[in-house]
Amino acid sequence: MVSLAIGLPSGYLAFDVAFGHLIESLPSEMPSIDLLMTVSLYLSLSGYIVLLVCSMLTMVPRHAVDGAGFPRPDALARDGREVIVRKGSYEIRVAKFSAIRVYEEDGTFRCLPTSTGLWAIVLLSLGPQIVIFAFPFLLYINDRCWKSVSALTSEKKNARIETERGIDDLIRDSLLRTYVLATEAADIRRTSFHDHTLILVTISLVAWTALLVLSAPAIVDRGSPWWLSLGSLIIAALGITGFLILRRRSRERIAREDEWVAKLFSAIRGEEIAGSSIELLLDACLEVPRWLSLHRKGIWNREPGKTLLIFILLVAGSNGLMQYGSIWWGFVLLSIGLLAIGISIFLHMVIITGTETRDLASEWEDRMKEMCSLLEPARRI
Amino acid sequence: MDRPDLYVVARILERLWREKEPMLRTRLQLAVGTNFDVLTKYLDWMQGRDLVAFVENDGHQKVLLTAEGRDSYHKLVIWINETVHGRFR
Repeated sequence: MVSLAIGLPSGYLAFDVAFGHLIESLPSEMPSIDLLMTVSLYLSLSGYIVLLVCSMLTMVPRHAVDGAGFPRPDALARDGREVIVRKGSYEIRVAKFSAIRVYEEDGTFRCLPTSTGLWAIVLLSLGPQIVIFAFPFLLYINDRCWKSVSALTSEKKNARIETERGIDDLIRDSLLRTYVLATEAADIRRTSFHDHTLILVTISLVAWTALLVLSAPAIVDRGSPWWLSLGSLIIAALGITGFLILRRRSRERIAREDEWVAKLFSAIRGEEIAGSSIELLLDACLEVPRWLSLHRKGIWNREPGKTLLIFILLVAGSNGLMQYGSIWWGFVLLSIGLLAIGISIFLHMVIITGTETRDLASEWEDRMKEMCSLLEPARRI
Repeated sequence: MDRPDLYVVARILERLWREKEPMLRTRLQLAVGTNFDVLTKYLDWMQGRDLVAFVENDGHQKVLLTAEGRDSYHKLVIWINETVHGRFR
């Protein structure tokens, strides 16, 4: 309601300032087209503002929970929940489009879209005339999050209080955890291959469309389609070669993760494996930073709220700049400001990702030194 | 021995931890999957750090995990558990 209360009047105001004079200058011979264009422009502007306000209201605030709070990520993973652990927080996928991010420092949480939800919003935002539909979708995502909060926090109340666990329990738990990590790593590798293939196909199509547009005048003038044929062949050859290289590299990576999955699965089932469980786990420990960094790698997926905000700012900013000359100069300045904010947030995300990777490497080095000291009597912890 | 291979130490600790009674060196050697000389070097190193003790039993020298050894093994398992859960600090 707040989003609509702020978005609709602001949209009207922005519409009046930006396009008011443009609408007035239109010839009034076709009033129905005039009205349609006015409504369409107004809906687009309001849609973006409503979406921006609603994103801020639903994704930015952190909420507190009563009682014991959310269960730990390992307990959630044992219950079959999909959990992504990040530095200082973890994310629980509660529905196809909704996720809850829990902050470990104070136990608060935020409602966010999953990567699928995020890209659905992005797709809706791409069409100015349908952007308004992203608003109910965002409300739906938020609603699913809140419905899951009570279920998750009651799970915590019912969870058995873990006392000090025995060695066998710890080994089994470690095997299960490494198995989950390895499985997720294999899934990320597969998804990443599909994503890269999709990007390759999109680039090839864009290149071919550009080629078609460039050669269209020559073909229309009954010129030779030779350039178009040659260009199409080159684009197809590059695309297929790129795909084959991607597939080869990705197969090797997936096979490496699958090998880990198989080994850990055998150990969990108690089958005869090369070496002991403890040795397998020590080996697996060396892979942990790589598995964790695979989770943290996706810069666009790590903070869906920020990604969406960047996207909205960039689209709004570039749209404004494209109208340069036909709209009020203040609106152009505002667009430049929005673009600058969008780029700054993106750069901030890039810097944070780099810092986290460096921190992880340094923490890991300390951790390995600590392991060696476990067997030294004078330095035993 | 300057820098023992932690994997071998962990294997020896694990095997001895599962054994209730003192264990013959030859049986331990088979279970750990290393040669006798290497095992002897590791056991001497571990004895120097109070991780294992040697006992005479039925005319054979057998190996036993000490309280320090059990404690170290427990800490190693906890370390692994924390590491795989990404709890580095």
